[in-house]
Amino acid sequence: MKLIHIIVFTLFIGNCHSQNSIKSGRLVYSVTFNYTETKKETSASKFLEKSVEALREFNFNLDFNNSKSLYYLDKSMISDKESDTYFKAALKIAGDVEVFTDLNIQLSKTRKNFLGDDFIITDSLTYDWKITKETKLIGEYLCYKAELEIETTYLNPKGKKVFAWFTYLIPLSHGPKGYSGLPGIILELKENNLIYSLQKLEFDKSEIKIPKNGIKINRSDYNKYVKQKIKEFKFE
Amino acid sequence: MKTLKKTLIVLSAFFLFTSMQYSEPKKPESLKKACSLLALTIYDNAINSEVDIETAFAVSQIAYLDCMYF
Repeated sequence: MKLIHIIVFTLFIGNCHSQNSIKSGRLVYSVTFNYTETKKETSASKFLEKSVEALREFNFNLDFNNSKSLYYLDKSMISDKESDTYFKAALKIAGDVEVFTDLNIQLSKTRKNFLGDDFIITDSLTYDWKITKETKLIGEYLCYKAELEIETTYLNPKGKKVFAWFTYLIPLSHGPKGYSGLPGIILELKENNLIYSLQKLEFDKSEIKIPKNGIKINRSDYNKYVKQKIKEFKFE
Repeated sequence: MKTLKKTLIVLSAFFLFTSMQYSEPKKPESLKKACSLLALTIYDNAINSEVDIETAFAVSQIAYLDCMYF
């Protein structure tokens, strides 16, 4: 009986130690997209194929500390390609966003560009994750699968299915694109056909800056603005 | 009267010059139609690949501009 108590106590101390020792770091994700190829090859399908290929060329970083994180494109790899059409399209597909999250106040600020204007969109961090028993190893980390269903909206008429692989070994609730709220950090994320995979994880001091430049707006008003603009282009 | 005529000539020349400088060269309607069709198809294909509407729209806009101007 005493032995069990000693083991439990040792595990508890070890867990506390690992939580306290994580101060800050950076996760690097690559992006892939499962493009549904059309049977007939057209200019449109070629354009999308080349854009999806261009996705391979860049990474996204997630800088984090215990309570805050910043997700952004690693521009050091792509400085000479920013004017390339397929690259620009690929960036839109991958999510051309910068997301700051603050777990203390349960809010995120997303900077994104729409039709030439920069916006800072505020969201509350409320995700209804379902943690499953499915596991896999990502690098040296044992990860658990969690699922999330995002309800249909005008901009997401089919809804969104999100699968996250997180690890209890890094007990921080951060993840790419503002996905958060799990009991461990997200090392892989699947959002519909987009997959964000871990390339590198390093523990170091990272400075986390809040995105500032842009029109400040809440999600509901931003969605209304986008809907209105798309309707102006008569795409429906 | 002569001064008025001169002023009108100078003003006309000025407006003609500025319009030549700043007006966008007209694109043929057939090109516009072809590029719109391309953008619309890309939009539809992207939606079929479970891309959200905002992303599909942004990608189709990039394709449209590329088609029209490059």
